Amino acid sequence: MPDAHRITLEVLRFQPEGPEAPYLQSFEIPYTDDMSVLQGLQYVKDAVDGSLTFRWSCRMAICGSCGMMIGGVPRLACRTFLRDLAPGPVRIEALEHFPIARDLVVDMEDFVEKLPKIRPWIVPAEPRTMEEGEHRQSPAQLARFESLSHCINCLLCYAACPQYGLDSRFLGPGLSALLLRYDEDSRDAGREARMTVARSEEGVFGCTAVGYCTEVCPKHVDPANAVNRAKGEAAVGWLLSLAKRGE
Amino acid sequence: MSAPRTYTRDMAGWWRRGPFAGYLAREITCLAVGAYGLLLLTGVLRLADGVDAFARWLGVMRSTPALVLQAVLLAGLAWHAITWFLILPRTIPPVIVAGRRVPSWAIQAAGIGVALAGAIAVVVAGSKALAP
Repeated sequence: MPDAHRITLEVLRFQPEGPEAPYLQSFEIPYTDDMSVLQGLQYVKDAVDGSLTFRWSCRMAICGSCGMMIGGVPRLACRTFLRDLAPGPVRIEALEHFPIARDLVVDMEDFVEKLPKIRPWIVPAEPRTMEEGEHRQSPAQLARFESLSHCINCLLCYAACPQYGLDSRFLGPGLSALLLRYDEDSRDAGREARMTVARSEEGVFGCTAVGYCTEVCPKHVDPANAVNRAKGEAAVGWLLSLAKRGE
Repeated sequence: MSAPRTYTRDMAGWWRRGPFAGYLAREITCLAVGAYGLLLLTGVLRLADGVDAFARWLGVMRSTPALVLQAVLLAGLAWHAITWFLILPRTIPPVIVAGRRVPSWAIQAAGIGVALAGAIAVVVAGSKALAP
């Protein structure tokens, strides 16, 4: 590796078959100015310790696989550069608020189980045949949810949310944003079912407006704003349902 | 086959870390807002008891311990107000003016500006009303 500097990665490691608790292991690696933390970890896996386990795929902040705590901050390893963390050492840990499955891989079963509850798909208001053509949507209608649709399910917002860490029954920032993404879509008619989830005990009212989820979001989804907008919609929906019952 | 063992980290001391310490400082200063509200409510109740009762209450409020308490409450209230407006863009629906979303900094600046102007107006009006 020509013109390489050196930096130490302090990686939190855990193996189900190994010691009871996670432990730190240091790796001093060479790096160049264009190397990301992900590439640093790949160097360790390829050249130093093949047992180091972490998730990755696209290497360009699209797949959302390589979320981890870097220097105590939830970040994507592929878009965090080692040059910005020099001289180190760089502490790398699995995403907070999730059980560690192995090394930097978390068990995201809780998120995956909750996902279908918010119906993350368009529930059409009326069936439409191919002959009837596509659902039309104006730029203004698209603008209502477009930024929310940028979510890549990287879970950084969950690692930034102390309310989720304290009580994982909370729906959390990412799913609340996704819930609002479909609710705000002019083609969708699934609002009532989603609002039942939003106003439940584990719904959006578990948010206390810490706001850190928005700061760490790599796609500028602004989940804190989404959760609080969903709170308003859930409250209005509840009042309307009361009014309907009174009729 | 049983699922492999996982490890769940505890959250001891989470509130001492940077972003969360700021959040908790915002939350805890709501006590200063409540306490100052109660202080003002006491004044209103003394006013309802008559001019003499209100004058005695004003006297107590001008004592050194009461002034120190008010200074502490004012600091807490100011911090709460500023941080409340800083989080405001994340808690309200997007504000659209002339087809464009108003940026967060404009909402924050407008909120803090209006709160500051209101506070100055109250201080000026109160000073004139209570001038001997």
